[in-house]
Amino acid sequence: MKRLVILYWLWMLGSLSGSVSALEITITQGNEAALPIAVAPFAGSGIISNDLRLSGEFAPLSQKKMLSRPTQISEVNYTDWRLLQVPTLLVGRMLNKPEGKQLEVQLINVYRQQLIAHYRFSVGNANAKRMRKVAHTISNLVYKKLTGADGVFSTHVAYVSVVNHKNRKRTYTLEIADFDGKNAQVLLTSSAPLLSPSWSPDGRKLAYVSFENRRSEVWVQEVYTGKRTKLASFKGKNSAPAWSPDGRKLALSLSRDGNSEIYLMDLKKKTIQRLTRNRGADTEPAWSPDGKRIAFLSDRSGRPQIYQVNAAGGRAERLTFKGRYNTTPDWAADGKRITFLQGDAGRYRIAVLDVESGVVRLLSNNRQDESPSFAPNGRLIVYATQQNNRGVLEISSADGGSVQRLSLPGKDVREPAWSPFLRNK
Amino acid sequence: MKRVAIVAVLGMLVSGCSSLNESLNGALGGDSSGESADVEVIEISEMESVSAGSATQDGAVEGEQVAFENQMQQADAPMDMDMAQSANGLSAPAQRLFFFGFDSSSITGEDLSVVQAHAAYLINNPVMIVRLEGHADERGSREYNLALGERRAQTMSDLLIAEGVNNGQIEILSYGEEKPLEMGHEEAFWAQNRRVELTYPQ
Repeated sequence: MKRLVILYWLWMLGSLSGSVSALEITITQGNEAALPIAVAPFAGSGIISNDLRLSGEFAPLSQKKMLSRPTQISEVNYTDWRLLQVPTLLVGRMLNKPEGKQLEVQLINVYRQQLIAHYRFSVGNANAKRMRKVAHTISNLVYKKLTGADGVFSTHVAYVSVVNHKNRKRTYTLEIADFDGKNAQVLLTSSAPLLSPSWSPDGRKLAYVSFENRRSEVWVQEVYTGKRTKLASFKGKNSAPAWSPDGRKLALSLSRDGNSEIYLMDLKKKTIQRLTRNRGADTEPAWSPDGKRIAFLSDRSGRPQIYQVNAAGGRAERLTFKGRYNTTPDWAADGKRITFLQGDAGRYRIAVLDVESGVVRLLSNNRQDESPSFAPNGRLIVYATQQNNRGVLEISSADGGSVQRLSLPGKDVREPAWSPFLRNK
Repeated sequence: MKRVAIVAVLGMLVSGCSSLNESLNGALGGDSSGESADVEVIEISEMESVSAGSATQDGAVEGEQVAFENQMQQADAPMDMDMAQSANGLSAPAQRLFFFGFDSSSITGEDLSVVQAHAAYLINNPVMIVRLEGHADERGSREYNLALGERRAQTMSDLLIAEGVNNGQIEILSYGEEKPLEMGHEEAFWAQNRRVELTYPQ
């Protein structure tokens, strides 16, 4: 397996550190309030521009509107960019060094006419895959510099894609793609339904439900070797896997003892422990980021609602009260918010619950959304929806400000699961 | 880069059942009167196939077939009718599809008496196995729909057992919303998809 060697130098010019924090960028809601930025043309600039746009926090200037196209700070005519009301500019150029190609980029404060940061990457033969990876890395650096938060531009989204054949047969594939929907890779192809992918906390494995044996079973597959093992095949339904943050346990919904209940499987010892006990269906467990609590869906009240329970066991506490249909919880990295699916008056939309206050905010505005999943920085949520009778993925900012559709041309997709931050593999 | 090996398809003729053009409901319902002598059903049995690949750093996919399951899929045609009848002369009811209200798992009215007739058949044929496959419509959570499908099948199982059927004769499974009968996106289609399919697999 190839390793991507990234060389970068970050020149924090001493006098600039003050000016960086003085930028005072306020992240507000809404595309209208997204911060203007310009990414001048260079290899990978389109990917960076798209990354920043998808974050919902930046409004990159179209390259067509640019009055000049500098490739380094010495070429910048600041008047051009002030006219366009762009406070921040990213320029770049490819350098042919004896040791190989290098991409040099410079992040510039237009109003202060100052360099904010300067990076250089060795890009090998600069093929498309390499450039895509480098571009996402640049996006992360720029995002961190300007917002202080970790960018999710090098993360992945797992999802299930379906092809409908004639005679009612279907082909299901489990895929992962870059967070922007590009660079899709197939991990599993099956003639039977696949659903509910869940990432291991190190991003190296996926647990999911497969019907390949004509019943629901939970499987685990290594992302980078393809090796797969059957993990749960108890009598009845085996579903809804969710990896604990420490990677040691898998929460599951099993009906082995009658109806659907939440269980914890110790992945080393392969033992299971029952967590819930009631007549309602309990499923869709989701771990809090500290691993202490599990949110889950139960219809013990007669309607599906979200509850939480101590991962060590105990009484469940109901979290959602408004609405007759609240399902599919997923916890934000800050442990304070849960995104979920709310059905109301025939519409199914993505919502975010503030756990402490109980305040619910609706995010999406479609009719048939499902399967919300938080980005690891807690600022974005990916979910599935329908467009022209086809499943598509959308990314919404967690505060509801921006909603953007992911590009997965020609695919019928569902069940997105956002990966954790991925370390270099 | 290997490609997926897909599915052996066996073609097989079964005479005297129902027309291919008939609605799926009719086909599954098992109208076995055989009144139209000129029609035949092609039963398609398939094996589920699975092939795993892996992500690579440069995005290529290396596929490897790791599992090939050999289980016969239930076909849409009521193959089981003849077998059921031959068991001891007493035939199982033709109705094999039972529909449910939104978010409901209750079996009502005429369906109830049909389930009771299936129970009588099973009691008279203690070697027969019945499979109850629960389904849901496409709205809402896939996982919750899996639980809902199971509850529908479970409700029917409870009914059969209450009538005196041996627990061991009943197999329950749920496909949730994953195997719709109808592909449309409105109530007329959804109503067809909220169902339990009762089959006598052999």
